Amino acid sequence: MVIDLDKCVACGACVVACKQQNNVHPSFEEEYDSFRVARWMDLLVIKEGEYPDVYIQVIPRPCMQCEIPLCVKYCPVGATYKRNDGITMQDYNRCIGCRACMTGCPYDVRSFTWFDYSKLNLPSTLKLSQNPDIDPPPKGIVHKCIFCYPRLDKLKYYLEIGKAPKIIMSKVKNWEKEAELKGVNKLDYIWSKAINLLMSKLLERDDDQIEIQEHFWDDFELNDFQFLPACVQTCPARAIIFGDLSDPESLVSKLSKDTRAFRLLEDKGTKPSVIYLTSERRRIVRR
Amino acid sequence: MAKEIIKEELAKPVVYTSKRYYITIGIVTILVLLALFAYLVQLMLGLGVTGLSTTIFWGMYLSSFVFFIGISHAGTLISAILRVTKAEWRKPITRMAEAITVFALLLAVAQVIIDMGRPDRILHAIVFGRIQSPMLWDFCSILTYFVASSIFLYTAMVPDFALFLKYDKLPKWKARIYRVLSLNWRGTEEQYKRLEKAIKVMTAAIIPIMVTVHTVVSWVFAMSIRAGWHSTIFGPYFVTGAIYSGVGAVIIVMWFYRKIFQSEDYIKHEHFTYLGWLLFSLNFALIYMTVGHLLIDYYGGDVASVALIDSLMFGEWALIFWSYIIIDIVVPLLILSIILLYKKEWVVNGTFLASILINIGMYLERYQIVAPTLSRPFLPYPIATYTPTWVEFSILVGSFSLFTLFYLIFIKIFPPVSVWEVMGLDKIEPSKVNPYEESRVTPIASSVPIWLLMIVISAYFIILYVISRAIIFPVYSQEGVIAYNQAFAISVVSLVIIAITCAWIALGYTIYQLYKISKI
Repeated sequence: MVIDLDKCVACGACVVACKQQNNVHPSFEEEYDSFRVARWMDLLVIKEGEYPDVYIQVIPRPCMQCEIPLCVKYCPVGATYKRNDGITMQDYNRCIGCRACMTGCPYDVRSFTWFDYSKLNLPSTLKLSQNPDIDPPPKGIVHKCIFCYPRLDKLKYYLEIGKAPKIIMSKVKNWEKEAELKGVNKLDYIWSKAINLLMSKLLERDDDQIEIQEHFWDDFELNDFQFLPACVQTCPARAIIFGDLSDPESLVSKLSKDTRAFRLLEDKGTKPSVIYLTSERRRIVRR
Repeated sequence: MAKEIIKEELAKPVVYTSKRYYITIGIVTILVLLALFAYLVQLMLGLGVTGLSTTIFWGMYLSSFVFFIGISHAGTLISAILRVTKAEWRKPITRMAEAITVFALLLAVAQVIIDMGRPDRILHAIVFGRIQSPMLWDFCSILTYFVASSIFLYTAMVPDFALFLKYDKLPKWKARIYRVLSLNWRGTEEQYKRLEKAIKVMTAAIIPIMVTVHTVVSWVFAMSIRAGWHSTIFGPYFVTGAIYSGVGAVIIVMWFYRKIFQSEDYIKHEHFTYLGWLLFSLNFALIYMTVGHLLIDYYGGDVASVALIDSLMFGEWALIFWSYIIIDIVVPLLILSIILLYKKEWVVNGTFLASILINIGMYLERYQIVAPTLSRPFLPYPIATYTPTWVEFSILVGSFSLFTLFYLIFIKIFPPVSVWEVMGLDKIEPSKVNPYEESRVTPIASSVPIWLLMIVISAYFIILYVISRAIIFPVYSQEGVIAYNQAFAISVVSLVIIAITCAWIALGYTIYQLYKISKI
């Protein structure tokens, strides 16, 4: 994942989308005051100086999905583990709620369910917005951002049964041949290419070139973006870009080699997979 | 005849029960029940009833855990280290100290379970245990320490059971228990030899276990890379603090025992003086550790460390930090130097007062290690505050009450002073009459070591299972395996297995000697 801070307008839509997608309990004033906000997607605020010479930067912060996750090292029961595609998962059924993983995480991305939030009396509008596909985190366990893996896995499943969006299905055969030539896992390769295509479509949609927009929906549906993580799909400024970092031709790989690129707390040795782009790099890294 | 064997004062706690005892038990039980209620509330509603938050997610429970582990070091220090150095004055206070060890360990484990979000899944820690996690290091070392210190406590108690059987005022039901537990002790030369061997081996084994336990407890914090925790000094820092508060706990128990049972002839001024000097020197060690820990972090100028220490010294944690410095270090140092150097007649009450201050202060020290670090994460989150709620406070009070309750029950059932050692029966002297001779042989007695052996073996296999999982499943994952821990697992873990096996072999040897004693 690449987050372009130069594009980010700090609207917080990613935070809302994340909570709706994953059924994380909404944070009311009470949660905020007692510092119990669930931190799946969160906004970090960096403030420097006093008015009028002031510098403010808001950083959207998902889980860094580290290559060397310290939380996995710490967990005494193996409730948190890494998938083959690099997503660090949390097993709600095994977690004992000791919060050792939270001490390990230098980014503090993990949250704890302090109460049984499923019994919370939500306003009816909030109830309607809940996702029927996802189990909310139960009481007394640690939970974290999972890069909306159910959405990513859905695309893989649709590719397997051949029901993926038209635009993807038309290119699957080419990708299959490429994968055979390269000798890599077919499904993973196709999936990575498909995500990349969706991502570039998403960026294209907001492009100002009218000619492209006219033919945009010919082989495409609005619903096709459902295979991207919720924060990516929602971001109105298109500041969050998702893709496969292990594929050198993907959009994110190219962006990660940008001179504006940096990662949070690089000195901790966790090798995070979330890359930030900013022209103010010097100011942010200095913190 | 009987009175000549055991002096009245020594047998008092076991034989007589006063009204005051029942009143104390009643008060303590009510406090425990209140804590139980608080815990039930927490179980029903979730950990949200505590003051913990997503930023400061470890608080009072973890401080209590470290604190109780700390005072558990009293027993080992007093009985094992003083036994090794052949300090004869230790005799009347060894058993009190050893009992503190066992009960404090129980309470420490309870704190961890209370802190868990899902205590119903406690068995996951064994079934799915990952030895790569510092929490499991804790589990293994505390289990070893608990089994070892219980057996140590029992081993040194065997001749006392036989001695009390001769005491005609002993209630019948107690005599029945004692007869089995005395392992047919008749004071023969071989039995003495074997008991001495057993105690010597246990002494040698339990000192490294003690150091390991508290070092590993500190590593739970030090292994994470947070500023203020990630420090190599944490092992010795915690061990020093543990012995400091442990000696304090022994002095408190000694003082109460002396007051309640008027046993001034056994627990003398010199005990308080010696332990006072021990506290005095440990105080300096603690100053050294605290200054070293803070100065190194502050001088280096690492942003996160400096922010943390600023908040400790001048920020929102200043009250706790400075009261720790004053209550734990400055005032006890003043009191101890006055009573040890100038006012020797105040030594009993003086060291008692210092010990109470030290134990309050050590709790604050644990607290200022656990909570403030978490309030200063690396990334710029809103700065959180932490105030424990009534649930946490009542569970804290309840834990201390439960400790007292265990202790009160213990001194009623078992002799709290090592009578055979105090009365000079720990060596065979031909001039003395052997007081045990008439005891009759009970065949059931030799089953006690077998039961002990079964407990030891099962505990050892639990540990072995947990450790060997590291080799079978290098990093536990459901779909993928990360390789970076694999080399670590196989090399280090096999060393750990060897070290732990040594400790457990010592336990097995002790039990073997006990078995031989019972067979004579």
